[in-house]
Parts: sequence; structure tokens; C-alpha cells
Amino acid sequence: MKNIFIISYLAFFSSLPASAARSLTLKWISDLDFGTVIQGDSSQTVAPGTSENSSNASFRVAGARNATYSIVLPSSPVALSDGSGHTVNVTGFQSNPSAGSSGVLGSNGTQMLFIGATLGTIPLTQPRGAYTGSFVVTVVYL
Amino acid sequence: MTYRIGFSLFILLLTPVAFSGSDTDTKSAQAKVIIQSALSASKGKDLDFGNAFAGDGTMTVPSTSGAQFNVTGEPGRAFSILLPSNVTMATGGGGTSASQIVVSNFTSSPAGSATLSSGGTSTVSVGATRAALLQNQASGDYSVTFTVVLTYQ
Repeated sequence: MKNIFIISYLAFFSSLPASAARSLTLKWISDLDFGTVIQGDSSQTVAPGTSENSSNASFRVAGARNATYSIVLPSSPVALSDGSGHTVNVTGFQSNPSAGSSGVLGSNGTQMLFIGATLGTIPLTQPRGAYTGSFVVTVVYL
Repeated sequence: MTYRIGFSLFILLLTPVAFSGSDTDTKSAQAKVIIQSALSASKGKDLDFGNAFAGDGTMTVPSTSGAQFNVTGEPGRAFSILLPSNVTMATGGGGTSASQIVVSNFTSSPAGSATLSSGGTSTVSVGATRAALLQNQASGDYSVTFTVVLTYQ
């Protein structure tokens, strides 16, 4: 009787998808930083890039070995605020691996995810200051 | 009885494993930018060599009493000052050398570069030297526009 339970347990466990065996997690590494711009500057884009740098945002994705996952980036503009009611918009979020395809975790179960976006043209009348805003990234096992 | 105990253990063992895995995760990051004031200048005063007579020698207006530009921009930020090398004033269309006067040796105060105050303002003054006037220098009002370029460093 005891053996039957063990066999059932193993059978059930091995039938679970890899995803259930190990959670898919995102760990924040760095923020998206457009640096310093001047009033009147034209639109600027930070590319996702292929490694962590001073501009792109980066996350470490961890989960089951060799698992594939999809990436969801903000689809509507993200407002950065100076805390005094003034905002500038960030649009066109892009990632590497790209949100259009899927990420594949390595044999160690991790992959770096890099994110870039575009800051719109700064009006000459935009008040000077430090502008920040947060954006959300989601990963889902495929 | 043995069966029941075994089954309960089975459930206890299995449950934490089956529910520990999550198929998705969401995290946020900051996006940030620092916006600084644009560099802007307006003319406060023109460079004026006053009155002179045909045959007069060169005349220099020191930067401190020359043209004046009122500058605004990002507090504490430095900017460079680029002056013209020379310009030519003219009167009546300036078709001949006798109706032209060259202005050169531009100087500024501060020289080369300046830093905006904590209030984001600065003043740049510009002087220059007017060439000697010819004996047959045409009488009239001579003028020309010159450009000073200020650039954030």
C-alpha cells in the first residue's frame, strides 16, 4: 500500500508542468534613466541594449531551466512627474528579449531582461526639475 | 485505518509542492530624467563706438563697457562664449572700402566661459576694436549685427 502512494506521488509530481515546480520570478536590477536633458530637446530613445548600462532598465528573470516565457511591457504612455503637477511622457517601451517574441531561460534557469523606451520632445516651457515615474513589467510562463 | 493515514500524508506532502509554483511575476522600475533650463540670452545694450572723424585712429571699447547680454539658464551650470573674429560695419549700402569699417579683436567679460548664478542668471559683456578710419571715410551712421554664441559646457 505504501508503495502505491509513493508511485502515485511521483506520477503526479512528474506530470506537473515545469512552471509549477519552480516559480517564474522577476528581480529588479536597475531603473530606466534618460539622464539630463534641456528644455526644448527633441525626443530621445534609450535602446534596450544587450547588457546592463547606465541608461536601460534591467531585470533578472528566474524560473525553470530552459523554460520559455512571454514579456508584457507598458502599452500606454507612462507619465514622469516632478511632484509639482508637471509631467513628461515615456512611450514605446522595448525589451531584449523582445516583448513580441518569447524569452528563454538558460540552463541555469535565469535570463537578463533589458528595457528601453522613448522620452518625448521636451517643450521649452517644461519646468526644470527631476521627473520620475514607475512602470510595470510582467513575465508569464508559456 | 492504515489507508486513511497514508492518504492524509499524501495530501500533506503534495499540497505545498503543487501550489508553490507561480506562472507569472510583475515588478516595477522607475523611469527618470532631469530637465534643465534652456540657455537663453537677450541683448541689453549694443556695442557703440560713439562719434569719430575721417582719419581717426583705431578705437577700442573694453568689454566691461561694451555690448551687454542678459543670460538665463540652469543655475550653477557653465557655458562657453564664442565671439566673432571680425565683422564689417557699413553705411549707405557699404559698396566701397570708404563706406566700410572693420571691427575686430572682440573680447568678453567674463572671457571664454561663465557660470550661471544660483538664480540661473548671468551677464556677458562684449567689447571690440574699430579699425582706423580712412582720410576719405564716408560720413554717416555705420552699423552691423554681430552674433555671440553661448553653449552649455
